[in-house]
Amino acid sequence: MRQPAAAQATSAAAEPAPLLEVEDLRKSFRRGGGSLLGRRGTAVRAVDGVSFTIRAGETLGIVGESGSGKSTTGRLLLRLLEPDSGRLRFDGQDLLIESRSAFRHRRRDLQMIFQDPYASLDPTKTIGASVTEPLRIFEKTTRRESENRGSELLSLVGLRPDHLGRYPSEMSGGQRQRVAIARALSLAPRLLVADEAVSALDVSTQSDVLNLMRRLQRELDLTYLFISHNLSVVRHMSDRIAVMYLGRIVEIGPADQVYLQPRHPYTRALLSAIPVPDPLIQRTRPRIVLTGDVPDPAHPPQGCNFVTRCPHAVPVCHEVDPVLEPDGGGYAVACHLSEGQETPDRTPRSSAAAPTQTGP
Amino acid sequence: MSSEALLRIRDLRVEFASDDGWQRVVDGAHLDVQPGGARALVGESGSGKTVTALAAMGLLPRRHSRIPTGRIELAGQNLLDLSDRQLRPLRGTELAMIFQEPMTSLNPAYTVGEQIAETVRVHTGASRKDAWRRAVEVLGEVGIPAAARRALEYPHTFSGGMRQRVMIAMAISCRPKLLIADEPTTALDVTVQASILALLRELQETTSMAVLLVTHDLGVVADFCDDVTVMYAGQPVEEADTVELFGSPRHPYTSGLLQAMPQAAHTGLDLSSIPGVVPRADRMPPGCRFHPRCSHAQEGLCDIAEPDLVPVDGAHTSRCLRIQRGEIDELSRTVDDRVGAARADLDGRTL
Repeated sequence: MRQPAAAQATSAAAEPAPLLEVEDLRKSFRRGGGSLLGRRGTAVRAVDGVSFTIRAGETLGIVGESGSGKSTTGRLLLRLLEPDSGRLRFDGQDLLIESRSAFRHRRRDLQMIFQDPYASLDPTKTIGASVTEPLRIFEKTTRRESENRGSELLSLVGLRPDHLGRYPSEMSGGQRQRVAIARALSLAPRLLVADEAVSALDVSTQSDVLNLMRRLQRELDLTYLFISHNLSVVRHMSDRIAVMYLGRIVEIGPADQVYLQPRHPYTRALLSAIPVPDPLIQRTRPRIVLTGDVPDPAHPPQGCNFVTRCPHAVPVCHEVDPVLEPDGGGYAVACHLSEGQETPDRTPRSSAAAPTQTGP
Repeated sequence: MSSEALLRIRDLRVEFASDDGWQRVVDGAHLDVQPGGARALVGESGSGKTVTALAAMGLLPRRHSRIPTGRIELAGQNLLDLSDRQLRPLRGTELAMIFQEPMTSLNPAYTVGEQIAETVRVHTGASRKDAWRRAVEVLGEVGIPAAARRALEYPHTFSGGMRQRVMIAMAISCRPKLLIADEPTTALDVTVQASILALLRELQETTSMAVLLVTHDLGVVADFCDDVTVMYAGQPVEEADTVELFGSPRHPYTSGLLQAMPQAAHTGLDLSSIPGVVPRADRMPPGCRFHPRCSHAQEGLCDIAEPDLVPVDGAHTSRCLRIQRGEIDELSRTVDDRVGAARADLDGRTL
């Protein structure tokens, strides 16, 4: 049986037991099903055997492009979607053997922040009502208690108590995201899943929310799963980073290692594609421009998922699906060309390596 | 120099109707795009950058908007003097536009070939056959494989990146001299964004088409543009050559934006941010519009006097009184400048 990469890595490093252990998590969606002709449609493997661990107090970042399965992974952890198979252990306890209704109480420990606070806050409710709703449901708090706790929560996220009586439409995007964070924190969770939590914000307010999240992590001893398509933001926030492509983790490891010495050709292309906000650097750095788009997840290619876009593919890549190989030091990569120490081309090279290069 | 500009916008004001009367959302837009050049129009939401671009294209909603003053000159001709009827033939052949979300700009009921061919026929009067030939040719030019076959397919069969290529194909089908691109890669994945920017760069080189790129992404600006105009609260606040602007910003807002971008050197540090939010059009502060958020603002000056956009260093212009008076020497541009100071604040969290 395949050893889950991250789990093995943790035991090797003799760290405290992970807070969250995810093993071989899978979820398929049916597309085009339920038609009049009774066809069942095509199965899309949105999450296709994902394994990782998160230690208490750390931040694991997940990066990936649309269709990579990063958001679905986040939703499966909270059972906002039911996994098809796999194991989820939180603080040593199996989350999937519980019934959905029993799991509701577990949600106190696992909370989520979404991208769009316009959509996740009820526009007809005051901020106070939204923030304290979980308390009234889970703890049956009185109105007065709720108000006090609401004020505390707002000051925790840098808002004033007088914001309690306002409506979402009266607040800025950054303030609304603070409200969403306050609500997620109301039940004192231990793990927060942040799914594109700052992606809708302007850059000048984005940093405020990121700073706030880091401060709260220190003060409340929170553990984060930080999901975003923005690689710079993920790097800033994360201790370790997992790169997803077509429903799988293709590379996972310490943030610096993944960003500075990426070994998967997809990670390298992804990193080289982020434009650096400095024209002198941006115009001279080598870039790997991938040809083609992400394949349709309903029809993944044979062999390696990345083979259709990979600049380095060799015959074996078209036939054999590479497994995520852990190196025992908390790092793992799924690429035939990365086996052992001998990586044919570990660093992005110039014209010889990539089919399309755009120079300065 | 500016007399040769292909697009020249001067003192443009745009107002939108609201319940409380006309709200001025663009107040003195000013920019040049050189023939074959690439100008960035940068700003956060509410800066007026998209409205400026739509005004240049003549696409503002007629009933709900008005332009009290300003000039938008294309090759010397003021587009604001033209009627809709006179403007129409210029669209497509002289200037064309692409948008953030290609799916909403394409008609799902027609094949992409039909939509491009129609554009060609309307703008050039070409025959159906020639227009179709041009549609297939231009789909090939934007890097769509098997263009003759894909021309027969409907938009929903294309991926996001391919749809944006179709939009670009449609926009360049009549060889416009200026392409206005409003956040053309914002909805795309970063690897697809890289290929679209590479395509636009290649088209610029082969057809010497000028581009006005509207974006909030300073990385995209650094990658693609020769010159930059930074807008804040409806006004241009700084204008310079791209290398110059990133190297030595001359407005505190620009410097704030640059510093707020997370970069490798930031790891473990708090990011800097710009306090507060962009003011609403009906609640513009007196004096400099940026002063309530500015760490360099001086009481009795910035909250009273309204600055103009004036040259501060050659062609580099800035709308900051303190910069203009030489009271601020250098604005920090990246976090590197303050890493030393901030090291002391390091929280000790291991990364």
